Amino acid sequence: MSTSSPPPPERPRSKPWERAIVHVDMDAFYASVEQRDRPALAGKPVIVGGDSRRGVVSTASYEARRFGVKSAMATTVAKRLCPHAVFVPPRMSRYVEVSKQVMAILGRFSPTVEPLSLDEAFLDVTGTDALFGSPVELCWRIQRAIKDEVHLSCSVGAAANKFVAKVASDMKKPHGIVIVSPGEEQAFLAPLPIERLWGVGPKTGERLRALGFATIADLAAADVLALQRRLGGLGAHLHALAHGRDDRPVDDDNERKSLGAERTLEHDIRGAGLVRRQLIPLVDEVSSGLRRAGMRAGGVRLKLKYADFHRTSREHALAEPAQDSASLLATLDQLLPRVDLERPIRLVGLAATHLQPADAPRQASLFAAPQTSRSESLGRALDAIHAKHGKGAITRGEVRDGDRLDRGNEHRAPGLFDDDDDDDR
Amino acid sequence: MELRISVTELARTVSLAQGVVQRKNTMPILSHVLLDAQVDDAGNGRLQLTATDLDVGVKASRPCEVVTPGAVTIPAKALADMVRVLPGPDVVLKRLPNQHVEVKSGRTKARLMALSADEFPTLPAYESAHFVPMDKALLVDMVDKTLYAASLDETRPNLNGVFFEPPAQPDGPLTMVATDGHRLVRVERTFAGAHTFRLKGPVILPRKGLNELKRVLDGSDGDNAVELGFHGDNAVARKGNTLLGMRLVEGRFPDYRQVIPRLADKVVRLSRQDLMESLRRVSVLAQDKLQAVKVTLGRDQLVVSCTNVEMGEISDDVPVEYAGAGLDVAFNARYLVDALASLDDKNVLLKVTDNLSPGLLVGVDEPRHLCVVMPMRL
Repeated sequence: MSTSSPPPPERPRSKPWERAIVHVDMDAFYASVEQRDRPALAGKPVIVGGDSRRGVVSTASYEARRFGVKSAMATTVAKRLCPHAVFVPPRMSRYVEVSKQVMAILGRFSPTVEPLSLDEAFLDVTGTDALFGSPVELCWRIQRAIKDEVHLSCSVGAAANKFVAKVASDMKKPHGIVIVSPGEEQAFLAPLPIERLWGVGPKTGERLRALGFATIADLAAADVLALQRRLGGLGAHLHALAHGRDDRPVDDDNERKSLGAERTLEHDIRGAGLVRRQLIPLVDEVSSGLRRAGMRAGGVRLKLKYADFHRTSREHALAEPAQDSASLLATLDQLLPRVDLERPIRLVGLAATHLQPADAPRQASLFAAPQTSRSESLGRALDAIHAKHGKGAITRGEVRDGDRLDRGNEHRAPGLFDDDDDDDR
Repeated sequence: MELRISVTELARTVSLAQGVVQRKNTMPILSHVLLDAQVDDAGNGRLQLTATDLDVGVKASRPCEVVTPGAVTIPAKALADMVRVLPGPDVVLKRLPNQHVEVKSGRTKARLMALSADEFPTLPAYESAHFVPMDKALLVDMVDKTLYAASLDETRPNLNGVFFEPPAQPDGPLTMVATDGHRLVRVERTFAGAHTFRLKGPVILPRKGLNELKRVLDGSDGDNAVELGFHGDNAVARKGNTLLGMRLVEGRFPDYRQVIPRLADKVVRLSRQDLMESLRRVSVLAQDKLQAVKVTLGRDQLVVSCTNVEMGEISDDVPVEYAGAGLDVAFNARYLVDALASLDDKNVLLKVTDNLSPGLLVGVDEPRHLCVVMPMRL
């Protein structure tokens, strides 16, 4: 293992790099974008996230992290820990834009780039040494290109597989470079806690600790058959990861497979009517996203998280690929009766699946609602209004603000159908 | 239980069960067949075979020599594989203690694991259905002309079968309709007794059941008679000593009448074979799944063409009689070929309105068989 910036002379390698995988992780991405776009925020603790009662911290700048503020923490807690922090509502479209710039830079280093989210990606850089030099040099070049061109900092890890590269990029944040050479994986992983392994969440972690496994070394030393007996298929998977083995390819299939939106509700809700009303703005959001992406959906997936954190999801095919709200909503209405809506629900989500380009030929349906094209024009008109006057400038009568239980998101701008006492709810 | 039966007879009987038994191993008993050997009052021995996946069930009864009456449940696949290779001419099946069945034929002796017959699910009383005699060829033809268009999409169960609507009046036709939401076919046939099914309304016959019905009828010899009836929420077909039951599909069939074009103003007359061959040629360049081809109408002209941005283009002229306006309309070539293949007439009419409305294919002399195909949007 070696860390560097700028590149040090490299040690002779014991083993050849059969594959070279790089993981790039932007440092405090949303907060960094805000600090960059608004110089007044530079050097200050910045917290990006909703500020409603149920809101959570999306990203905290490193200045705020020093006070113990973390992602996914309730904003109320964050406020207590760091009262002088600047709270900023997320501007997703801005982050999407910057993310595209970052991914374009990464695309110069390898044709095989797999974005995991807006702020991280894998690159398969096998065999690029003639172009970009050793792995250390390559990582340093990537880091510098991103710094120079979009003025943002990132951390980079390189290893012979995805899992180790991802762990590596997280070791020296922010602005770190960590290289794990082939053959060094196990030694590198050994001292780390088991929660670093993919597939180990809090629950599995607890279970593993109860079984006497605290570090990755403990798991690596365990008998794989014994692990399998206790944990089933997960046992073999974790054992392989603990040994630094992971042969998944970098998936550069850049076709988006789904496009979704979800919302954590301020109060738990139940009942078909209320749930549907919460979903309608998401239908419009997804529909608008589809138009932006130039895609049509072949299916719709409904996702619910109950108050007890149990999740459920159901998917249904559209009669005909579509991007308009009415078609998505009609399909959603077929899904709603198939889930339990009488248990308290804390999160609703909706995704368009089986995406296909909007200009691809599509088989028309015998029984599709004939007003699809009208609904499509309506959607485009709404997009134009939102672009000109801001999101929320116009909303559906069905989702008057009084019905909306969530807050602190982009729908907060006063709408045509808002009541006057908007702020008292 | 102990019985003796000819290997050929047993093989034919067991093959009836093969399509019915559950392939997915969710309930082991459903991958088994129930064999029940009994002697009737006249002293004749019979073997009754029963198989079901709880939606479709088959009961077949065959004469045999019964040594000891009784019943047993054997894995369907193992039994079918075995009887296919037994030397014959006869086979003796005998239940042993410990849930085994001994199979003896010629110099071959085998033991198969069995399950207790008590565990086998009870089938609906198919035999109590009210049966209407039908012509086997007519029934098979109606199924052949419709079943292919039924949807395979399991999220749309109401389309996973064939709509079946007997006439209210004695001289009215039996109507069968199938659709996958993109194309639709309607067949009407008149026969004596068509109005005597005693159904409260139209029903939907399940796809799997109809596939099995075709197997049973294709494999049957003898006369051209078959009976079809209904019992509770099951449709039942009876052919000789074989009963095939199928649970009707629940749900409402879409209103198919509204999608059958009535006022299509562009009517093209052409040879069924010609259009089919053109479509096959042109679709060589069509994209795998959507099979989009363009149909261009002009005076006495129909051109089928396809442009594939990655591979090239192809077009084919079809001789037609047409005097209407010009039109470009795209279709899934496979839907058109399926429809043309199911029509019987030498010459057919293609009726279209515009490039967004359903097109209609119908034989020149057979208005009772309609194929509706929705265009593609390019």
